[in-house]
Amino acid sequence: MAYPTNYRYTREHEWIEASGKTASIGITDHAQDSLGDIVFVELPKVGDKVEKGKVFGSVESVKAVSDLYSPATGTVIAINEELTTAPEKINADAHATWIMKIGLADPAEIDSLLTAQDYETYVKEETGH
Amino acid sequence: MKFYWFTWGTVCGLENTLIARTGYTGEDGFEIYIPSDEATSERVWNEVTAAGEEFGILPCGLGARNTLRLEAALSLYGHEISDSINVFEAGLDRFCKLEKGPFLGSDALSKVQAAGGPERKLVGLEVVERGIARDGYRVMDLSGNAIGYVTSGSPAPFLKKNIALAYLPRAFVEPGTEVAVEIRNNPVKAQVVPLPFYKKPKKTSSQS
Repeated sequence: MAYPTNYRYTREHEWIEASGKTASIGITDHAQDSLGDIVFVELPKVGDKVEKGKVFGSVESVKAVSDLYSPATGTVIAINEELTTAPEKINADAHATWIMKIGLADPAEIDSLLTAQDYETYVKEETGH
Repeated sequence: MKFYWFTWGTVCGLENTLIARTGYTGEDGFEIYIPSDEATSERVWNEVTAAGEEFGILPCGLGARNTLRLEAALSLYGHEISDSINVFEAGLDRFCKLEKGPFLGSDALSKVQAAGGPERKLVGLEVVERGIARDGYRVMDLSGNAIGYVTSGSPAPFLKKNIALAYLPRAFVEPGTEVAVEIRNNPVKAQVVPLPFYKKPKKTSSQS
């Protein structure tokens, strides 16, 4: 699956789509594919402070729990409540399924993240193909 | 062959192969034990897969297998059983006949019996609130005191429930007892349920 070029990515396999001072955050198609069927998403609360590189929630497949790391620092302004009853939406379309939206503390912070091309190269190196 | 029995026979041309009517899934099944070299493994795998095609045979991975054995409440070494868990705690009394002793450990086990049975028992838990109990998570009473731990926990895809096996003190082993599993620092309500979580329906046709 193609990685949207207007998104930025982390080495922990999250994507972020910034629009001015706010941003949507989700996990990548590679992440959902590696996890397998997602059965549980632990969301933050609206108003929570999140910090770049720090855990803000988790996703669980049948086999394992994986932490979610925030790609940027800010305050949670929305969470995707639909994921509490339909976590499989992430498997169906990871890049269209945001997990949380945040108000960015510093929009310029995004620039240091991986581009779609960087991320694809990184995934290839990580998986060896 | 009866369930839980074994015999020797020829499988894919391999003579004297151990065939057991066991499995680790809670369903009827067979285990065959063959030489581990790659050529033999590959040949037997392919022949069994081809022979099963008309019955819709499918390979099954370790993750899927683990959910099945958990639903059937079958013990996994290092989880429900270990060298620090006794046979009565694990609920495996039927495999240990003290009157056939003495044997290594029989004195210690007799003392457990004389003291009125084990202090803790393996129980089944069903998570009632949102959350998945995982191996090693702490179990607490409703006042927040740690009382035990989860030995195996997983979503059970067939039952569509989040289930777990845990060691709890005797006072908490009755089905219906409410406890909490600590999931990332949050207590999540769970209930003691009878084991196994799933039992295969009795066959109506005769077993051969």
